[in-house]
Amino acid sequence: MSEIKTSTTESREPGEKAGPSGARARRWAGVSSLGAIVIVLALLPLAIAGSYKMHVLILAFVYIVVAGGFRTISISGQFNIAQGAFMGVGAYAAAIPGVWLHWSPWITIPLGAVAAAIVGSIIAFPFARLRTVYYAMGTLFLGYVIMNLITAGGKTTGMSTGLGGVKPLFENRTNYYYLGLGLMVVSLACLYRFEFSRIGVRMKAVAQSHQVAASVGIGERGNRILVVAFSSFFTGLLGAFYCHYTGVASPSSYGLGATLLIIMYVLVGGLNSFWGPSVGVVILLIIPEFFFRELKGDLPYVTAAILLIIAFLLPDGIVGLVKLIKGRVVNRLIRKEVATDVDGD
Amino acid sequence: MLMEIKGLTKRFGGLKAVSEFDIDVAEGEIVGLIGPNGAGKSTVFNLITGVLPVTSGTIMFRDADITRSQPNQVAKLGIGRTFQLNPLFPEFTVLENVTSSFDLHPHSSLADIFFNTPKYRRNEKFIKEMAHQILEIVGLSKEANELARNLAHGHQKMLGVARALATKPTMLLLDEPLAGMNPSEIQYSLDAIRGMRDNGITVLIVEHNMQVLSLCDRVVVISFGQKICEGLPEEVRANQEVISAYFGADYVC
Amino acid sequence: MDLAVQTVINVVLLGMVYILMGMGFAFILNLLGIFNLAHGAIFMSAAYGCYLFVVKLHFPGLVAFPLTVLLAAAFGVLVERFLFRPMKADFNRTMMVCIALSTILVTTFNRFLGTNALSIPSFIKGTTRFGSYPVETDRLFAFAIGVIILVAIILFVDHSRWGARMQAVTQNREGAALQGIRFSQVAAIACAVGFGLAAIGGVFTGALYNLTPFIGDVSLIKVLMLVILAGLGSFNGIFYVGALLGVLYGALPVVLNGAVVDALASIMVLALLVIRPKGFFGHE
Repeated sequence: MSEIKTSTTESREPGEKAGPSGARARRWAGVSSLGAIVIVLALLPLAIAGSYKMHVLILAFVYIVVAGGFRTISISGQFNIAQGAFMGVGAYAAAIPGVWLHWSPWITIPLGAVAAAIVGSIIAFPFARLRTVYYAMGTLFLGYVIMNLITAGGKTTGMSTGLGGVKPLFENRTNYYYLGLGLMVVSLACLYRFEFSRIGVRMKAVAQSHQVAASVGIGERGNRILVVAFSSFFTGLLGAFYCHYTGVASPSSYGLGATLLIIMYVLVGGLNSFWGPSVGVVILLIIPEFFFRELKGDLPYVTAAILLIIAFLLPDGIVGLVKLIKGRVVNRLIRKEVATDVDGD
Repeated sequence: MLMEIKGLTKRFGGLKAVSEFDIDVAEGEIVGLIGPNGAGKSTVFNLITGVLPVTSGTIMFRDADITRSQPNQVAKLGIGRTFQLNPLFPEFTVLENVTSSFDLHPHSSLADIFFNTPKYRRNEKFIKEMAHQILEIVGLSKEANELARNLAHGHQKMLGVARALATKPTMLLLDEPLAGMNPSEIQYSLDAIRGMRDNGITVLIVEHNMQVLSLCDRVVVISFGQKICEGLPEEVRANQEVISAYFGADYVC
Repeated sequence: MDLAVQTVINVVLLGMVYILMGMGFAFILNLLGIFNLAHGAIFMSAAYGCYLFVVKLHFPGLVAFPLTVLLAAAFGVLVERFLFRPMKADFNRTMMVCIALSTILVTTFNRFLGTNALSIPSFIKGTTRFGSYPVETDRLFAFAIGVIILVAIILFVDHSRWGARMQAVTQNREGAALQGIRFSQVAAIACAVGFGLAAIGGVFTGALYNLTPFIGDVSLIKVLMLVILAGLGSFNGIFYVGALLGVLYGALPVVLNGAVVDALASIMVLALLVIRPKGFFGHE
């Protein structure tokens, strides 16, 4: 039984400039393309305001962060199948004070984030020493328990039909769009910083060998709890936002089915890359909803088929495929260069 | 006395893996812990570092009781160790294996790391330089960007030592460092260990290979979880009859 | 008194279903190291499959039942060979395959059989009398079958050569291979038994309790609860914990609301997990 494979530094493809100048060039390329994407997203409402496509994008913003959170937790070797429930904690922690105590959403949304982080830490504690398979089993069960307890909460939580009447934040859908975009950018930035700093190194160390990690002072339990708490903050944040956007906190959005969908986004996009979850959401959520809406009922079959292809042929997901192609293309370019050098000598 | 262990006992169900084991290590010594396979040598290491819980007995390090300490706490107190099996982070490069091990000295707080403070950046730069130096010392500079799991076995062992050195240990526990090495690598390692002692690190070595006797100030012999003899290397070596009685005449010397 | 008898019967039957399900899951978990997320989907598919045989194809129940179970076992062998084995024990890839399998099964059955509650008609109609207490014969039948199966499994695991091989593989896979035990055969049997037991559980539930699209998820949760509490690598623990869950879910709903029972059970299991995250009867 192998532990989850973790990525380390981004692998260098043949021909890529090594050393500081190459790294700086790559960083600028990365930042500017990201910047371009954000600018495009910010300008999109001019074209698609109020449409179904905007609604889909808002959902995508939410799921990119929640899926990203799952993935960040996975770099420490934890396959957290309670992720949907953490989103639910954020949603209900925002909805309940909002509906019954009439607190402003500007308070309840951060409250949801904090609640999810706290619940995450508490939950993570007993499972912080379990190996991969048992951790996955335990968290699946845990996710169920969390949602179960929430739905058993009587009128306060609206039980299985959900809690409606959540006060809307804005009148205009475009405002939700911009808030969602902003939350996503901030969340991804924080998750990115977490992973690509020494904190991320500690997580990956724990994932590879908790004994060796402990021998250099990196404790397993503390770090595993830390990553769950940190990631759950953003999961809860977007969960609360989502709840205020739809106006209702409904348990089916946070149950096992929803969590499996989130996991599928991550696996299809690529578990070993930071951008995997985003790519997965684009492929499994945005593209079908934009261009293939007739597929509605058959979408699960398509998703399952894609998942099987990934499992058999592309375990590193679509991002892995892209890296593979990039590597081959660069390889061929080098070979051409070398050939012409030799000839033109 | 840097480390004092009294009455160390470890039971697995009905089996006594280690029984009433005493050992003292003074500062600056190189102490060898030798014995046949299954004698309990690695178990003693695991008990010291907190990987296995102690059944009874005490372990004192610098007058602090570390009998019940967790592995990462033991590391923080200044005890480093290598591992006999799986001694590395396999998916990290050689360089990353060493830089990731610099977590204790210099230590950056979570806030420092997350907000990329000047202190953090200084620490990281220092760590990278130190890591390159250590790789030079153990002779692995050329493989700095190789994935650790692709290294030859002897190199993996040396990387394990490099990793342990990164924690700036007061005392280093070496778990069968010579296993699987060829004669020139063995000589190199023995010199390297002497060099560590000269740099102020106290060393406790568990070994199978009797060549380690030339290195040690003192030797403790363990068999079936019990100490059967202790003394200067010459005395222990002279005790060959006892040793071959326990270990068999084929024992490598 | 009637209620008491009914409750006892319920407790026993539920406990039996849980133990069967747990055993099946544990076979796959302990021998192959695989967390079979699709186990609930198999459970549900067998229930719906048997329903189709009996109601749409008009097979007699006593034919449909073993047919369903055998098909499930055969499916298990195929899944092991063509879905699990190529994943080379990689946790992520195995997860992908299980999720895909589960999605396909659930979507298909939901599409063709709708989302209303159904029920598999009784295999054996009528009631038997024990003194003055009537017991539905099909429940007796289910109980008898369950006992036979469980005894057979115990005999198989503890007293047969294949059982010995499987125990060896559980404890030390490499060592077992060195002894000449062909892992592929053990794996095939483990999956056949695992899926077969899930099918038995599914048919029992579909016939004696209810048949909805959610029984798959519900059974997966129960199985996890069972296996986690029973402990890593434990088979015996499944009997004890299965019996406990039978009592819990069979007896408590008589006095408490179903949702409350769920909540109570969840909290209890959670508390137990905090005390011993590695379960109670396991060994690592």
